[in-house]
Amino acid sequence: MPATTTDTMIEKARAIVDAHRHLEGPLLPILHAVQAEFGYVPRDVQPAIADALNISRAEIHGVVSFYHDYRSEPAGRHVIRICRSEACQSMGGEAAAASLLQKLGLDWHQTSADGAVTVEPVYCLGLCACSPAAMVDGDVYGRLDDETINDILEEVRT
Amino acid sequence: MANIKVDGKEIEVPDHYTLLQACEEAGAEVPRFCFHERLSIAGNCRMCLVEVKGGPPKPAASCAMGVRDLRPGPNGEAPEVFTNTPMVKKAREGVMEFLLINHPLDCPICDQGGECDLQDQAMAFGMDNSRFHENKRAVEDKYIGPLVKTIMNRCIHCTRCVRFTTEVAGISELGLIGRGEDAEITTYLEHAMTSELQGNVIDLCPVGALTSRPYAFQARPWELGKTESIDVMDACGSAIRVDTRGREVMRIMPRVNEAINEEWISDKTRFVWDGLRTQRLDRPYVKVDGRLQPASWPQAFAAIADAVKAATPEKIGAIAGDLATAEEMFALKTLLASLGSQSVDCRQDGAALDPSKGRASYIFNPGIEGIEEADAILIIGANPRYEASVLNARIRKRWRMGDLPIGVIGEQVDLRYPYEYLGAGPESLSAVIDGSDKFAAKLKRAKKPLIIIGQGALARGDGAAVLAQAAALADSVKAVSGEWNGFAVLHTAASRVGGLDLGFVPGKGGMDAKAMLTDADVLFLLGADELDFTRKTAGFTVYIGSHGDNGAHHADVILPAATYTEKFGTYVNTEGRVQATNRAGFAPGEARDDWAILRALSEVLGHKLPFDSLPALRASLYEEFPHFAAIDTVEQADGSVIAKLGAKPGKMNKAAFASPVKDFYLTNPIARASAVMAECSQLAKNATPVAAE
Amino acid sequence: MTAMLEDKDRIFTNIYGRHDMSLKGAMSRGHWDGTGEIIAKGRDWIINEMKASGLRGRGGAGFPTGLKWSFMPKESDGRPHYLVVNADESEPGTCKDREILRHDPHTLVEGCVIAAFAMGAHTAYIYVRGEFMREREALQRAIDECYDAGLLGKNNKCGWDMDVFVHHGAGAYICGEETALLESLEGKKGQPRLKPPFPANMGLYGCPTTVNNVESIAVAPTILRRGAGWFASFGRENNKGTKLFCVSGHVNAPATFEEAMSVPFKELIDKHCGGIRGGWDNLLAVIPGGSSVPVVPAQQIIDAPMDFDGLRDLKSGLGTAAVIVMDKSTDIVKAIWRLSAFYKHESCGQCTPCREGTGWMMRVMDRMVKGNAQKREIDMLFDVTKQIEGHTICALGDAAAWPIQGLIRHFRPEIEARIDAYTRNAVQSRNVALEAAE
Repeated sequence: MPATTTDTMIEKARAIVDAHRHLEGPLLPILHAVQAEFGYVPRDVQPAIADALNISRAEIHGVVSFYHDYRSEPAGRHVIRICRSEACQSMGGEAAAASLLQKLGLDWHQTSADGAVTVEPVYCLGLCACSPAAMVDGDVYGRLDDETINDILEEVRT
Repeated sequence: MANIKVDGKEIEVPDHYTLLQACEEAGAEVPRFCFHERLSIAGNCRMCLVEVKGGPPKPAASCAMGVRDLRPGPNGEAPEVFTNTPMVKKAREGVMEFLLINHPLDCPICDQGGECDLQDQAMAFGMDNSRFHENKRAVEDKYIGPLVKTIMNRCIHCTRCVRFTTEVAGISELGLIGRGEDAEITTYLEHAMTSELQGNVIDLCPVGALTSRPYAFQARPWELGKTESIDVMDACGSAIRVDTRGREVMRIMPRVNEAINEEWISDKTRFVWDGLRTQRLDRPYVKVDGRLQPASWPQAFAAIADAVKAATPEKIGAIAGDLATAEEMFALKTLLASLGSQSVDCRQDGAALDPSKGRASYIFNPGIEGIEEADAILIIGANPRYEASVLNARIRKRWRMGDLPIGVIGEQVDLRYPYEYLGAGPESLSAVIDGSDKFAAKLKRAKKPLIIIGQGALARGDGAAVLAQAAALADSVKAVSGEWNGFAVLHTAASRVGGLDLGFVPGKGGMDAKAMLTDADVLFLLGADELDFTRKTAGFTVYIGSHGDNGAHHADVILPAATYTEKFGTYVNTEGRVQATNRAGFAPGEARDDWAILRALSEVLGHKLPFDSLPALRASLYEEFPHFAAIDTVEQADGSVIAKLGAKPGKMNKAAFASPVKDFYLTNPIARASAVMAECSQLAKNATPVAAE
Repeated sequence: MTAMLEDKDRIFTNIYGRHDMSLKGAMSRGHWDGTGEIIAKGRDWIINEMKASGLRGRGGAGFPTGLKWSFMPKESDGRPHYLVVNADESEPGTCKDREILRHDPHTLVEGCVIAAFAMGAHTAYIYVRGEFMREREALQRAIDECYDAGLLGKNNKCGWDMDVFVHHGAGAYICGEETALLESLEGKKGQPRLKPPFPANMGLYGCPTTVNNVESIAVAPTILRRGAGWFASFGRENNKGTKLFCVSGHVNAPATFEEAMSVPFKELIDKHCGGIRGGWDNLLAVIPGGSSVPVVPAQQIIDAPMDFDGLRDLKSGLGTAAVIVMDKSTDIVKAIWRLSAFYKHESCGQCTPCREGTGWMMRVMDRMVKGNAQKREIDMLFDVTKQIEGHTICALGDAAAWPIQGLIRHFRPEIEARIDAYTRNAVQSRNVALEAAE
């Protein structure tokens, strides 16, 4: 990566740190904000955060790797998360997921070549009464069927 | 104190004890992996489970539960724990099985074999078969430097290494990443660790995940001879164990000495052993026609005798190096005296320390353990991280206890703990003395202030003035009062305090080291390699030492001698503690013990030294300097000399203080002969910009 | 047994979001009514009333809430006290806290003020699961309204200085464990702490802290308004009150709803979920309390009262009252395997039995699904679950072990049949191969 972009990223990360520094336990909020800004938590900005919070880089690295929400690579513009848990499985979640993956031509954790969409499994969205469930960019979809799957596909392809 | 019953046996233990400690106290063995006395409690291996009577129907981790966490019985009976019930046995077997399912069965090729906690405890507490038929986990090995080798498949995630590096060593380069089955110990960015104490993780690792890279595949622990000794790489005198096979030193391990190194040693102490084999002087040499030629002992002695006879006694001198034992310095001093010379000096670097000012003026008075009592520390002209790594770990330990202002005058370097930087040189010291620096108030407020003066402040033209000023400061902040003497000179040479104790300094009219280097007609160098030989104009030079280093290169006669692992010798550490090395193996070729060389030479010179054996030599030494007989003890020095020293402060110049240790890994001839130390030195040089980021 | 819950006795009156979610709407439904007066009655009164109500923690373990509050030091020793609300609802099958957060958040915010007062805390953190984005927004909106209305903040109308902060998780189930949650709040890896010390002594930032489930806190104001006796009039002894149930799986109408405790399973399903798909004869088994409790076969659960003790008697548990219903079309071995995969995925990796055991169990289950195993391995698997249970730092080890124990206890013939089938196929195909070779 050219130095300038890294520098800008670090600059932005520093601003984010400053905005959250007053919080108690600011690391997770900062990482959330960094991810919101860049779409992932770039490795290059981790030393800057560590420095600002006076914690070690190993600690930040450990935290980022512990929580699966934090990405080390940018995701697609849209992220589809499909529930893989028991309640959804009992209501045809497996078939719905297979159908969606097949229509996208992707496998779990993959991002489409045009960078439009990433598909991830998730364990229980807490939407068990509306199984099978999925989440697209923070919005939840219940009772997945062919129609809703097509709706989702339409949305992510635009 | 609290009462507790362990397996039916009632004992009394201090309140702060954990159940694990209480069980040990009662004589019950409790297996453990993650627990370590000197590290924080992790409680993650679950091997130390015990049964608590009346508690929940599941075993408790004894390392993490305190005796005071237990409730007494309804009638005030002592709480009861068991280490031998079926529940405990089952729990241990279960945990052991879990530890082993993903642990490779590569014991035959594992360097930890024979001294592996997992192996031992599997024998004692495990089952004899495996029920795990799945594939074992594979983990990528990590590069963490030239000293510590990783085989991460073997890791049992006890996190001792992580806790050691963050808590004791003060670096944060190791960490646990990921989670669950996929959690791994790794370094951030996978570069070499930068700590001078990193080798200790090898000892701490209960399995073969972290092993010694230089020692890899060299030997098995049961084929090694083990000799208890002390280290001479710095002036701390860490307790070590020298492991040998035949005459070769195969490795060096720490021993526990609470007063000095607890159970840590620096990497130089641990990994210097390959330097014991290379560059060795194994026969005498005599310079013929400008070239050093191999010679016999009689030829070498004859050459020396000729030179000595030709010289006037006042022009004969001797300089002792940093690794010399008290015995050989005593023998050399006696020999020089009998030749009529007062020119002896053990201060190669010209440090302005004078035994006539009293012992308290040149030792680390509060002791290394005393650091833990200090409540304010001022470091003047020293970089303890490089000059005395285990002592620095003690300062960090004290700092971690909290409420400790630390001030530094000298080089602004990473000491592994935060400090207030007061300035680079004497002006900053003056500012503390006259109270214009705020740190002065902190020292005054402290009940046990500690003032550490390094050789960087003393080995210079105004060294005597700096020492006196520091003494004046110590006096004014009441650093010396009653029980507490917080005036602490930090040495870097193992031989130094011993040399000062036995007066290996110029007598009346004698030359000091600097003068000898230029003016002596016959100069004896007892392992003295740290001199500025470019200035040398002295005449006939005799080098007595173990390695073909600087001193040997400038010698007319070389007499091959033994290293610290090859002789019985007495050293006095920076605290003034008398300690002795033991011979772990013999010196190579024709090399001999230094004292024996001097004894043989004295006969040729016609001034036969009055001792034929080491015990006889020691008897004379003890007669003249009785405190050398008290091995492992510190003779307390009279603190009143500090006030007197401070009463006549001289004038200091303006130059900044600079630590004498420019390269931690290459401070003495043995280290300079070590390939491992050379590699570390190179890495440290390259790593500097990264560390500064 | 117990009568069914009437509408007038519901605590969560807007669980489906059909009414006004704003502060005004919440007030019109009776929330934030006399909060100051409740606080004026004092700490002891509140705690005694909570104890008398018989409310047991709604997060799964069922520890009496009033008792938990009483563990907080009476006087502060200089350290602040904290209330932490666990809204990291991640247990598969559970979807009750989400409904409170997004549709009835004022019950929770009001509960925070009262509970914090009862434990001497001026600060509450609500730790919301990372995936709950809209929920977090709804909650934050409610909190902002309360600040604007002077119900929160310094010198507020309730008479107890109070700040409520929403914290946002990042995708780790283990953060639902109370001490892991505290670690996560402090910005560290969510690895559970050793206990003792317990959070009431050394919790968030080493200060006295109580961690409660969303529902436990959200029901408190109504209990205190209507009286402990009212709440205790529902359910059996030791299992008092009303409860949010979330029923999912093979019922005709999966739903989250509030019901009295101790209602028999069959009534619960018939009344709220339109019965079992394909009729009651088609019921295979039920996981009655979220993924971590053992499965219960149909014949045992049908008449069982749905409460802590009733399900404990069946060697299962009420847990979070997340009822997962499975009919006879379910591959029960595969279903439990999937839970094993979940626990392996979510183990924090800190302590040995859980880190190593969850992966082992999952792999054995993997083979059991296909039948590629030996029958004696069933006992071995059971033994492995016992080796994990009770030997770990936190309860995740137990949660991973129990579903498998339930499976083996009740469906052993199913596993054995599968092993037989696999072996038979293997033998046959070998015979075919041998014949061909001849």
